[in-house]
Amino acid sequence: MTKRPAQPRLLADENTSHRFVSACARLLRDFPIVHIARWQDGSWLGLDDAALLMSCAEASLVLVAFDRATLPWHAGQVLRAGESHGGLILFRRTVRSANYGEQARLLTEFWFNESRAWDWMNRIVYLPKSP
Amino acid sequence: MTTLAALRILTFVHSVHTLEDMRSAYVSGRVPARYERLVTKQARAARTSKSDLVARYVIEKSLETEFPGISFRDSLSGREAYLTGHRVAVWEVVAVHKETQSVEKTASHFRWPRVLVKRVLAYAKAFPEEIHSARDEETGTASAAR
Repeated sequence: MTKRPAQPRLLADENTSHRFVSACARLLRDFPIVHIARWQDGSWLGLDDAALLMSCAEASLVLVAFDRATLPWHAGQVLRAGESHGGLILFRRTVRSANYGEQARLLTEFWFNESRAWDWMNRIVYLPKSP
Repeated sequence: MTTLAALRILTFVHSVHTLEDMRSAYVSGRVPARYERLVTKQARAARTSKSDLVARYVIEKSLETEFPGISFRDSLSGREAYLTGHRVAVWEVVAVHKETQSVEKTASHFRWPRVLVKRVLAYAKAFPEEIHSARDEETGTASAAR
């Protein structure tokens, strides 16, 4: 009997690389992350920020992305509109876009050591965390 | 064209920016009345004037035609250029390209064909100040807000 893959709990936004997702899987097998281009046959690539955040809430997915101010701004707008988002994990700009190993290490350690049991609804975290 | 049809057509005369030096220039055009009503409704919803909205439409549509694959959306820094059908802004692609120093590696990063990266870089080359400003606003504002 083949083992079913873990249900994704983290959705990597398009400004992260597939290589980052692969690096997570190399560090921890069955790490529950999927890239947005592979999720729902890529149909979420066309969603704007607000629609994506609300879709993530419905699917219980935490969105993982590089920090751009517009994304948390839209998260605030979603909340003000009485809706929810599924949670946001944002890489600070000190983390290089092409440093996939560092991104994967930060995320996997944070997820397994601290946050996988959290209620992620409407929560925003920046990685690396402030000292 | 019937007189009635002609009466239903309104003329727009608006001030827009030229691409080269940002001096304003006039652009005018005639549209069926239903589109004038549509623009009026959209301007009200966007809390802007009809002339500003028409100017924006002229600028963005002409740029989308000039640079296939580029579209515009709202962001904290105002209207932002991004790759059509994707979620990535032009300034984000430029940031990755700056790190990788290679079209090939940038395409590999996003798992896109190289032509998409080239289209984005062509737009960025034409409007370097806009791209720098968007990047500074997105990254600088975020840092300041934290």
